[in-house]
Amino acid sequence: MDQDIRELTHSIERESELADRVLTETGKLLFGQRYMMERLLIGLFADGHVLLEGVPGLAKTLAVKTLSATMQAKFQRIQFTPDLLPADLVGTLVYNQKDSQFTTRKGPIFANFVLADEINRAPAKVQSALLEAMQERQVTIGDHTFPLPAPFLVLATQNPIEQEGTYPLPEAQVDRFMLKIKIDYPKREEEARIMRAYAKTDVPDVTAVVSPEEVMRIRALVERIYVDPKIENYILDIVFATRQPEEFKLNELRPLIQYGASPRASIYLIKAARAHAFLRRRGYVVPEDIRAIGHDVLRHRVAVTYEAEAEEVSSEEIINKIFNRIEVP
Amino acid sequence: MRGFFSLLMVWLWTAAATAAQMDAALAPSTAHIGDTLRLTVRVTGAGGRPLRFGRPDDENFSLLRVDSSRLAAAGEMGFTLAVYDTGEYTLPQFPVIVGTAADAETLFTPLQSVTIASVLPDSAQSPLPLKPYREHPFQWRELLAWWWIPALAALVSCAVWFWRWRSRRRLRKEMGYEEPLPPPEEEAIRLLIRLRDEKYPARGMLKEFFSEYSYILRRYLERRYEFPALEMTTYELERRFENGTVPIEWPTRLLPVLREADLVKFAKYLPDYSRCDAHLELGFELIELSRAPLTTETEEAAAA
Repeated sequence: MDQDIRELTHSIERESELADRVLTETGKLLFGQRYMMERLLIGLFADGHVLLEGVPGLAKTLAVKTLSATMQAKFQRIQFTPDLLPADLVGTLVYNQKDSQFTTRKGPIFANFVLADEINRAPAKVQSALLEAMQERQVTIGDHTFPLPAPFLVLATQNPIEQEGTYPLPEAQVDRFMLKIKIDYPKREEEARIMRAYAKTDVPDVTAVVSPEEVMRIRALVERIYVDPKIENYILDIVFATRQPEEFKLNELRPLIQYGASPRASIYLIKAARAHAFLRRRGYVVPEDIRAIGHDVLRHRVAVTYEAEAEEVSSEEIINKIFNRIEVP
Repeated sequence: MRGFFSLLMVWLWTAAATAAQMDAALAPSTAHIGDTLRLTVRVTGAGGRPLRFGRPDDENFSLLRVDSSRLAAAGEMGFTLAVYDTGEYTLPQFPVIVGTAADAETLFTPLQSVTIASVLPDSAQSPLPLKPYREHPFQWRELLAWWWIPALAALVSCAVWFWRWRSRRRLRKEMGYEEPLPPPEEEAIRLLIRLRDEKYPARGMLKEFFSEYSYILRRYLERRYEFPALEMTTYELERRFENGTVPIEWPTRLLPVLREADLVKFAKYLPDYSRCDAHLELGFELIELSRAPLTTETEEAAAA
């Protein structure tokens, strides 16, 4: 192996112990949600925001709260409601009668971890304010622009059912989330463990085991993970297959795809694959990393047509077909 | 008196000297039917006065061409004539006017005779050969002048063949017809031999070697056992091998090589060069091991 990659792998083996500590801590409260926790860590280490989607009661909020509890970082939870205003999120200028001056009151977005609970319940203007902050990593209040703390990670949840009175996120805004994780019901034995653990009154405490500085160090390490040109071509093939499926002998997908993945998909696929390789203690990315995170990066970026909806073909199935057709390098 | 005569003599001499003279010649005097006759009319002593020639006009003669190229220099006019019947003919006179209207002088050409003979000799009843017989042996070299005919034919044939080939190919493509592939074993062995002949390890191209090597074996698996091995990662292949459809030697012996290939392909790993030959041998061995059993015609018929 190349000397740089060997050294990088050794560093990763040392640093990934931090990830293990986080997973161990969260494992005290979360059972059978390793997939979700790993994706949250990928978002954390690859500097990408995460959207969690699942029916109520699947521990989405608990997972985010528990993850933030393992970090010595500031955590804010914002419950998105129809009457929420942008100022409630980013902050506002308050007039002080005593000294006749406006003072800035920063909103709850000024935190390392922001849980945007049920993001689709707030109107578009609030969603826009949040998503702008996610993209720019800064907030403007009055005449002043304030940078958001680092690390800054938005973990949003939404409920796929109960669509009455919701404001679905537009495609352009969903695109800003690196991952969209679909949470499913736990298995029978996992639910049995959940039932036993939460039937008691004394729920175990989670301790903070990682500092923001350590997270930043891991991010720097993740960015150094080697991605071979063959892997880059594989990513490009996948992304382009969502745009021009006929060029990849996927003619049957042409009428099902309204529009394909944006260039953000390519960027996030590489970043998330690097973070996944980090969790697997590797200093290089392999096609397995791409396939592991491919669905989470692409599912909200491939828009299906009415025809696909009529035939009950989801973006998930389209991505599956693409992965099953593109040759692994 | 002497003076008068002298003056008269000078006048007569001057007049004689300035009087125009005409000369004409018809050649040849004897000709065959179809031959042309040349009538040349020359005027001398015109003293720079303009000349206007008439035309020989007679029903027995046809005027083919008039040649005035020597008119200015020598006062000469040429006529090309033809006669289409046999016999003795006399060309009638025609006028030549010398000078302008005020002092115009008209001269007439002298009578010219010609004898036109038949092409048949008097003594023979057979026609004379128009061209004498000449020996003309066949020479291949003469054919070379016509090289473009077979070349053009070949070009046209190629164009027609190419057009038909393309049409058929397009039609097959539209109908979803694909060329039959060779059996997976044959194809894989042929590709492995080609990989060996490329001598990638000796050229330091280990990444290319391992990329092609893993491609050949995964393609073989895909065709032989009918599962999408080319679209599977090494880890997914490992899971797939667990169901036991592939001989046990494949997972136990090939998977370590595929993992090594992944390191070479994606992590800049440089393995020992000498092991590449062993990997190739392993490829041949695994293919032989999993070769599909040959079926006889009766078995195929029974299966059908």
